[in-house]
Parts: sequence; C-alpha cells; structure tokens
Amino acid sequence: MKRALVFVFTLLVCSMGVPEAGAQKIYHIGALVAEDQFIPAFDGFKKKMAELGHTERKNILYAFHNAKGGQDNIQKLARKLVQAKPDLIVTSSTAATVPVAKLTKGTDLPVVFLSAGNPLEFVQSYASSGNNMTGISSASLDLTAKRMELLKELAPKVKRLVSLNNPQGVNYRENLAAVREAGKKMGFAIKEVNASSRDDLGQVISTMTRKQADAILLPPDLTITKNLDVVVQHFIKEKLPVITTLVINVRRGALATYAPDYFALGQQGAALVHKILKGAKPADLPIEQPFKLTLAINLKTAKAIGLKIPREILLRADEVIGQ
Amino acid sequence: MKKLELGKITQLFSRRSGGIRRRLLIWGLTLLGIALIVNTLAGSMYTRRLIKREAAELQTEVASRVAREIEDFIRRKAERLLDFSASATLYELGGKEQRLLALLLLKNDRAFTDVSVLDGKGLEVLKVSERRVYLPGELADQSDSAKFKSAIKGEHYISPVYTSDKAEPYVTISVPLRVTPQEVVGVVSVEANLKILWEVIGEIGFGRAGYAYLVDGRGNLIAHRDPSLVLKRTNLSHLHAVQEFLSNPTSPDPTPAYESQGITGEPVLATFAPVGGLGWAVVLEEPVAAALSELKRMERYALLLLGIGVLIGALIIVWVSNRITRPISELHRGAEVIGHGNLHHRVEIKTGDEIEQLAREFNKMAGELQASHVTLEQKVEQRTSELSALYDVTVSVSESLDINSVLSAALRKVLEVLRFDAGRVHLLDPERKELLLKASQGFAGEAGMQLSVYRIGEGINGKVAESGEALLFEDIETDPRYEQIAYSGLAKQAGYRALASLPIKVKGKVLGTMDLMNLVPRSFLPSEVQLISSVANEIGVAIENSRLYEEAVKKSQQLSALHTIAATVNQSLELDVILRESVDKVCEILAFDAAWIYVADPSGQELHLRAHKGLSDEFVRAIYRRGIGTGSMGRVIESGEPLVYEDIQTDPAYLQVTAGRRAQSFGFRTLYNFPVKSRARIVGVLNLANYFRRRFSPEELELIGSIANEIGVGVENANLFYQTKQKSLELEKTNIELITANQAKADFLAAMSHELRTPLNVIIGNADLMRDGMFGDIGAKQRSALEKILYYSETLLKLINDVLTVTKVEAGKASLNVSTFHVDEIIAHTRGYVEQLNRNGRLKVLWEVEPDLPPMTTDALKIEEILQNLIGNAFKFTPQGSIEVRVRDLKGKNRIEFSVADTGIGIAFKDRDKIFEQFHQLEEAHTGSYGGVGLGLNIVKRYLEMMEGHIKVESQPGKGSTFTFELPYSIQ
Repeated sequence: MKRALVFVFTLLVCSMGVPEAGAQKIYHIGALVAEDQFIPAFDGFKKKMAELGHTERKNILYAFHNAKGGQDNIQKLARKLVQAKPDLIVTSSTAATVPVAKLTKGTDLPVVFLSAGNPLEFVQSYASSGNNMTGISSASLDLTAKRMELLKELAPKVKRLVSLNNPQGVNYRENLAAVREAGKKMGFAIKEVNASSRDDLGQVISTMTRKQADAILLPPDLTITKNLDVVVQHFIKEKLPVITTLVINVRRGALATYAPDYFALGQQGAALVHKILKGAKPADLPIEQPFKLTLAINLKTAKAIGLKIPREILLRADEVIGQ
Repeated sequence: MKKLELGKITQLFSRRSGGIRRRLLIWGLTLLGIALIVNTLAGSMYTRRLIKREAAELQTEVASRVAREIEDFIRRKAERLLDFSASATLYELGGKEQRLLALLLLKNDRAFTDVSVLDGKGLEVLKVSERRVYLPGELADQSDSAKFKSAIKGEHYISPVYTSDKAEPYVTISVPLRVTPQEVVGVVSVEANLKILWEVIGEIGFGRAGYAYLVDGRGNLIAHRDPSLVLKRTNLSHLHAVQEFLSNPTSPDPTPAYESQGITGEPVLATFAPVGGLGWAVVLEEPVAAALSELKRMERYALLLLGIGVLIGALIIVWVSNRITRPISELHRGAEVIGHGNLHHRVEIKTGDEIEQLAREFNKMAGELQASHVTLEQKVEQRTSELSALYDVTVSVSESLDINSVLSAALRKVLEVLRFDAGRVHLLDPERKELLLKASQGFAGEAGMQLSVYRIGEGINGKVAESGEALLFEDIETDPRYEQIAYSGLAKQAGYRALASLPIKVKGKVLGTMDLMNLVPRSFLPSEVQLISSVANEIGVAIENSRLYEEAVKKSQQLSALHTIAATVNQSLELDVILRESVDKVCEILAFDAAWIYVADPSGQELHLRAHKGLSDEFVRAIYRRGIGTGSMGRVIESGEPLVYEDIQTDPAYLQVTAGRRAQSFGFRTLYNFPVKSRARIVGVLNLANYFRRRFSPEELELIGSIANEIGVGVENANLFYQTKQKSLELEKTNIELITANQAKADFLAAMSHELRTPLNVIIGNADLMRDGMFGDIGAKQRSALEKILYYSETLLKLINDVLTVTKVEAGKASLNVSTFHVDEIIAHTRGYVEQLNRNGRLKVLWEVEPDLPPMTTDALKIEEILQNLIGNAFKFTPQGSIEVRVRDLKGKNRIEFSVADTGIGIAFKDRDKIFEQFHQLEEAHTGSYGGVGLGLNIVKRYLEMMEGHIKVESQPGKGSTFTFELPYSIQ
C-alpha cells in the first residue's frame, strides 16, 4: 500500500513537469573588424543589440578584435576568434570576412558580416548564403556608377579619371571590373594606377598632377584607406577631386562619396543576429542591402581644391562636412 | 484436526482484513479519482474554450491593426507620390527641376528606390534611382505597361509584389500627373521597397508564439518573419485561412480565428484581415499548442490538485480502514490464538458497533468449540478403539488362509475387543442350503457345538442367512421375538441374555452367520452394530480369500495333473505304453481306486480293454472285450457325453443301463464313464471307480474330461505313428527297387551305347574310305549310297553320343573340364561347325560378337557343344531365312550372354516348357520332316545347370525362335 502511495505521488510530481524557465543563456559574440574605419559598424551593431534586449555583460559578451589594417593580423585574429568557439561571429569588411568564412566553412557556427563590399565572394546568392553566413552588403561596387555620376555633377568638366587600386586587396578584381564598366557607361577615360603599400602609394601619386588626371577614384581597399592621409594631402595640393567609397574618408579629407553609413549597417546587422539567436538559420536569411545610403560632401576640401558645390547637391546631401 | 480448521479460519480472517483495506482504498480512490477527473476535465474543457476564444479575439484585433498599419504605409507612400506629382506638374516634363524633386523624394523616403516620369504617350522622360544611373539612352517606352495604363486613366496603380535581383520585395506605384483635375499629362511611378513591411510583419508577435505574414491577391507570400519563404515564392493558397481570403478578398472585416493547418504544417489558430484596397491580407497564426500552453500549465496545476485530493482521500481511507480493520485484526489475532489450541481465549472489543456484536458471537462460538472439542476427543478415542479392533480383526484374518484358523482367530478377537462372552460362526453350504458350524469360542464345554447344522430359514441363524439382515436381542429373556424365531433355544438354556446374530457377507452374498452372546443383557448402539457388521464383513472377506486360495490350490493341482497326463501321453507313441501310464497317473492324481480304458478295435464293432489299474485279474477277464452299443459305455459312445454314477449300488440309472453290473458286483460305489475323443471322434472310454461314494465338482469333472481328451490325442497320435511307420517301410522298399532298376538302366544304356558306337565307327570309317576312293573307283550310284550310309551313320552316332551324354549326366559321371579361355576361340570353332553345316549356303548366318569380351574360366568344350546343339536345332527347324548368333557382355552381372536366333517354324507356347525334357520332340518332328530324338536341348539344359548358367527361349510360331543363355565369367 505504501508503495502504491509513493507511486501516485511520484506520478504527480512527474506530471508537474520541469519548470519552463531555466537560467538565462549568456551569448558569446566574437567580432572582427579590419580597420578603425569599420568600428562604427560594430558600434551600431552593439547599440541595436542593446535595443533588442541583448545587454552587454548581462546576457551577451563581446570579444572584439581590430586588425588595424594588417592582413596577417586579420588571419591571426580570425583563427583566434574561431578557436574560442563563440556562439556567433560578426565581421565588418570583406577583408575581415573572407578568412572567417574559410575557417568556419562546413560548421554550424553562424557568421554575420555587418558590411561586405562583395558578399558573393563567400555566399551563393543574395537570397540565401547556402552556408553558415548571412549579413549586409555595403553595395560599394554597385554604387560605382552612382559615384561617377556624383563626380560629374560636382565637376562636370572631369573627363580623365584615375582609378587607384591595390592588386593585393580582396576587392581588387571586382572593383576594377566595376570601375571599367561604369567608366565606360559614364564616358570617363579611366587610368588605372596600382599601389600595394604606403610607399607604393607615395611613389605612385607623387607623379599625378592635374596634367595627367581630372579626378581620383578610390577603391574599397584597406591599404589605401589606411593611408588616406597621403592621398588626400597630395590631391588637395594638386587640386584634384577625390571620390571615395566610405563616408568616413570624406570626413578625413576626400571630396565626396555616395555610400552606406556603417553605423546604420551595424544596426541593420544586429537585426539579423537577433533573429539567429532566436533560432533562425543563417542560410534562411537573405543578404540585405543597405537600408540607408549617405551622400557626403566635404566643403573644406571643395574649397581647398577650388570647387564650387552646386546647390542641388547640397540639398540632396545627407552629410556636409565643413559647413 | 481442529488446529487445521482454526488455521483456515485464521487465514480467512487474514485475507478478509487485507481485502477490506484494499477494497476500501481501491473503491474510495476510484470514486474520488473519477469525481476529481471529471471535474478537472470539465474545467479543462471550459478553460480551453475560454482561452481559444480569447486568443481568437486577440488575433482578430492584431490582424486588424496590422492590416491597418500596412494599409496606412502604402497609403502614405501613395500620398507622398501624389504630392510629388502635384509638385512635378509645375515643371517641365523630364526637366532639371523634376529630376531634383525626384532625387529629393528618394532621399526623403528610403522606401522609394527609383522614380520615373512618363509623358502622356508612356515614354519615360525622367528616371532616377537610388542605386543605378539611368542615361537618356536608357529611357524606355512604357506605354504598354500596366503602371502607365492605369495611371494615365487617372487611377492609382499598385503592382503585385516582386523581388529584385538583390532579393528584396518591391511594388511599383504609379499616379497620374494632373495639370488640372481633368487633365492628365503624364504618369509618375516609383519602385517602393517593401522590406519595411518584412520588418513590420516579422516583429509581430502575440500570444506565446503567434506570428503574422502577408499574402497578395493570388495567395503568394509577400512578407514573413522568415524571408527565405518569401524568396522561395511560396504560394499559400492551399491554407484554409488564405482560401477564405481568396474566396472573398474584398471583405472589409477580419474573420474570426479558427483552428486549421498553418504555414508550417502544424495545427494553428488562424485568422486573417484584408488590407483594404490592396487586395492583400494579413494572416495571423498561433500554434494551437502554444495558444493552449497556458491551459497546459493550468492542467498541470489541476493534476497536482487532483493528486493532492487523491492523496488526502487515500490517507482518509487508510485512517477509516484502520478504524474498521483494527477490531477485525483483533478478531483475527483471537482466531489465531484459538487456532493454536488455546480454546480459553476470548476477544475483547468495545466498538459499540456490528464488529463488537461479531466479537461476542465469536466468543460464543469459541465457547461452543471448546465444549464440542471435549466431546469430540472422547468420540475420537472411542472411534480409535473401534478402528483398532477392526484393524486387529483384519490383521488376524489376514494371517492365515486356512479357513478354520481364520475363523477361530477372528472370533476370539471379536469377543475380546467387543466384550462378548461367547460366539459362533456358521458357514453356508450352498448346495445343501445348510449352515454348518465352523468355529466356536467362549462356550463352556460342548454347549457351543450342541447344534451344528441349521437349514436356511430355520431358527435365528437360518433367518439371518436367508434375509441377509442382522437380528439383535438385547435381552432374550424379555424379547418375545426370540421365542418366536429361535429353533432350539440353546442360547437361552445356556444362560445367555444378549444375542447378536449377523450375516457374514461378501459382495452382497451371504456366506454364513456369526452369533455373539453376553451373559448379561446388553444394548447395541448403532455404532457398535456397524462395527460388528464391519468385523463380520472382514471375516467374509477372509472366508472368500480362503475359498479362493483353496480353489487356486485345487486348480493348480488339477492343471498339474493335466500337465502330467499330457506329458505322459506325449512321452511315447506306443499306444499300450500311453494307456498304461495314463491309468496309473489318473489313479494317483485323482485318488481313484481303479481306472481302465477301452479302445475301439479297427473294425469299430468292439471295445478292447487296453490298460487298467486297480482291477483284479478276475475282473479283467470278465470285462476284456465289450460290444459297442451296449451298457453304460455304449451310451457314452453313442452320446459323446460322460456318465456319472455317485453310487452304483443304489443309483437306479446305473441299474437300468447296465446288464452285467460287474462293477457293482466287484464292490465299486462311484463309477464314471468318460468318452475318449480324438478330433471329435470317440476312440474309446475311460472308466474311473471308487469303492466309496464320492462327489466331484463340475470343475473336477471338467478336468477328468480334459484328461480323457489328452488320452484321446495320445491314442490318435499312436495310431498315426503306427500308420506312418508302416507307409515308410513300404516306401523304403519301393525306393530300393527303383534305384536298382535305374542303375541297371543306366548301365545298360552306357554299355549299349559304347557297344553300338564301336561298330558304327567302323562302318563310318570304311564307308568314308570307300567314298574317297581308297578302295577303288566307285560309280555315282555307289557314291550316292555311301553318302546316305555316312549321313545316317553320323546321325545314329550323334544319337548314341547324346544318349551316352544324358546317361552320364544322370549317373553323375559327367564332370566339368575347367580352363581359362577367350570367347573368340569358342566362336571360331563354332564358325567352323556352322560352315560345315551350311556348306550348301541354304541359310544366311549372321555373327554379332561384342569385341573385347573378358576371358572365361569354365568348360569351353561344353559351351561349344551347347552352341552347336542350339545352332544345329536352328538349322534343322529353319527351312529358309537366317540364323543370327550374338554374344555380349552383361557387365553388371559379371556374365556373358549367348543367343541363337532363327527365322524358322517357331515353338508353340504350350511346348516351351517341354522342349527341355528328355525325348521331347515337336509335333512337326514326329511328322518326319525334322530328324532327332529330343535329347539335344535336355543336354543343353543339364550342361548349363552344371556351369551355373540358365537358358530361356522366346518364340513366335511361324516367325522363329531365340534361345538365350548366360554363363558367369568364372565358375565357382
């Protein structure tokens, strides 16, 4: 009889089930950016994550790594990041994403790139990555023609365009192809100039004067961006307009750009991460386009090179530096 | 015994006690459980309905709100476009100002990515994009597009949702460019990115796991929190909610939520709300399991309460059952104590209810049990004593098979055990129907034996034996029945007062009576009467066993006698010896004073005395020969039945039958005449006699009959032996004569053949020399005559040789000349013989001899002779045609087969067995057409028998014959 009572009681206890709410899980997020210029993306990401309920040190921990533009450093940090086995990895820039993509290939470790100039480098299509990755395209190459159009509106007389490239950069080929295609469409004479280091850059641009070129088009490249000061100083001196692919470069002296804002890209990426942490698979989340594009003008530089910015442009500009 | 019963009661209580508690628990918990379960189920069902209703209401509300939001979103976009349109009309179509306005529109509203301005003919005059550059050369004719056709008519146009090459959702919105309310000069269209809707839809969450999605007018998924589903261009028209929407897309109100299959295939609570004016619908789904998760939680609580209720109920039931079962346990313990033999124990229960009453009854029962226990013990003691007595009697009657000893011992024991003063046993003679006194105990002097015989129905014993019922007299002085029934009153005279007379029975058959007496009056209790009856029955069994034993002994003796007689009879075949031995044994075994046997003479007219014992010479002389059919023996022979005279001195039957009455005159009293039979034939009479009167039982008479029959068998065997002996002597004599005659014949034939052959050889030799001209030339006629002489002489020589051969074989003088040879050698010789025979080429001779035949070890000449005989016959009986000789190896049998086939006259079926006999010839041979005397095939057969071979013949009259014989490779 006692055994029967114990049985009934046990049955009751079992029927109650296990309490539903367990201890809240703390997510470990690894982050890798290639260069200081991409930090805004991570800042935007963290801000949006906090808005979505992922409070740092409460229910989420970030391991942030900045390669400071060194290619070797990127590889090393990427390996370290993957070996730490976080719950998810976020990257910014194609340069930072490529090694992480290689190291996590075939695994279930989700990787979200907050910006990538050429995502097709590591995903199957925009609709589905087909692997453990998803993220936001920075549309850098897609907007090449739009930047040339902007240049034409800023300086209608420009005909000869120098395209500065780094043959060792991850976007080299794709960028070259985009520049050539857009240049052809827009009627520019493109001169391709290569530089793979600061020294190279110094040497190459030292020969460029208004006699050889009407304007300079910078690529989405880590080395060139890192050494932007050399470029800006020289071309302001030569009074040549410089069009860049990054808003931050305009802030650092380039004339103008039409590009996504990395802070906004980071926020956009946070929404994807939030979905993944809720159970979505990266392959089911399409690669997103930047929700917001920014037209940025540096009036100081314009003034320095003696260029008058049309009123229509200023009306359309999202960010005007030196106003 | 009592302990056992009380133990059972204890066990019963034990089971009952546990059973009450268990039953109370089972029934109580069952009823309580059912009540609680019903209550829980009812509550659960009600709550489920309530939750579903609330969830449905919530869904409907959310769906309406989301639909409104989407509608507002699109409406705002359209309004913004209309504002742009109104501004744009102020400027030149496709002009710089319009371009600036368009670019500002893109800047200010991030949902728009492309703006186009179309003129009144549908040509694009301006096109700007957030991401692309459109050169003037890229402007297209859109006059056939839906966006132009609708908007140029003054209507707003919203295209179906499509996805861009970057996998984002878009719609095209177009509005007219109105200069005045009536005049439309062109169209403005935009590409609106609906990704914001994805966000809106994706962020919708309600209930525990509710979600929303957006479908267009064809059931295609436009927005979902999982964009991959949208990008896969998922069509959801199979879902019930979508079907409902598609069946009535213009319905302004949201439908109530209902249960159906959801987008993921699981059961969901679904509703939808149309997005007014767009032909879209917001569908809300919440998995039923999630919607009812609250219910699950409540159900768990309900289950917990149910469990607690059951537990409390169980505790109460246990408490109540303990209250009930404790006094029962006390009763149980009391039963156990009493069960262990303590009958003084009583149960103390003061519950004031039925159990206390039960305890009182229990104590009362225990008291009665105690009282009855004492009585029972006394009864058991008495019964044990009686059973002991019965056992003693049984033992005493079993100690011996002698009836007198048994009865004396049994009676003594009965008196001792049952405390009687005297007793007698009478046994019944069934034939005389008299009761004879067999045992007596306790009587003073000869009192018990004064009257030793009673007739059935006479006196007390006679009545008891007749009725098979006991007669009891407790006091014969006062019992009037005694005077009425008693025959002699000896018991009363001897001073006995109490008398019990009981029948002794076995299997319902009365064997006798037993009288038991006391000198003082005595009452007979039924148990005593039953015991005495049992004792009487035991005595009956003992008597029956004794009788059976005596019978068995007697039977054994008789069988032994029969065996002895049979052995005597079978010891000899001499009749006189048998009969003499038989009479001796019969007298010895059956205790007859005399025995004599008559046997019928061969004429069957007289009976001759062949053996006797115990008869004087004078008597023997007087009865030596008797005529059949006279006197007592005549009757026996006539009827075949024995005649028995118990006393021939007085028996009228004897006196009437016999004339001489010699047996009577020689002083015999008992005489038996038994027929001596053999195979139902009476061959004599056996006579047995005693000088005193003697009676035999039917079994004994049967035994004597059997002895007579044994003697009959002996007589028959002796006769047969005699006849056989005579026949044998005759046959032996005849055989000797035949052997002598046969030898003479053989000798004669051998001598004659030899003597004939010598001159014949001379004749042949000289005739041959003459024919060859050795004695001078001869003429044709002389030659012809010589040819005939030679031919017939050779025929005659062959005949003589055959006769000589047969004679030798028959006389056993032929022998085998065994050697090892090849069959080819025989065939070569035979071919020579055949060539000689067929020198005129009358017949065609075929030879088929198998090559590589094994060598044979046997008589080669005899095989040649056999072949020559068969081929010669074939030639003789084949007028024309062919003869075929075949030889083949019968490998499996280690034999060689020879066959000679012809196309001659053949042999009739009836003759086939006869042709191998001596001097047998076919009918055709007798006609003279074919020569010979019929010895050839007989010789063949005899030779083959000598060589372990055999022959067969197949033939069809008129078509030919085939003789086939086979011989072993090697003779043994």
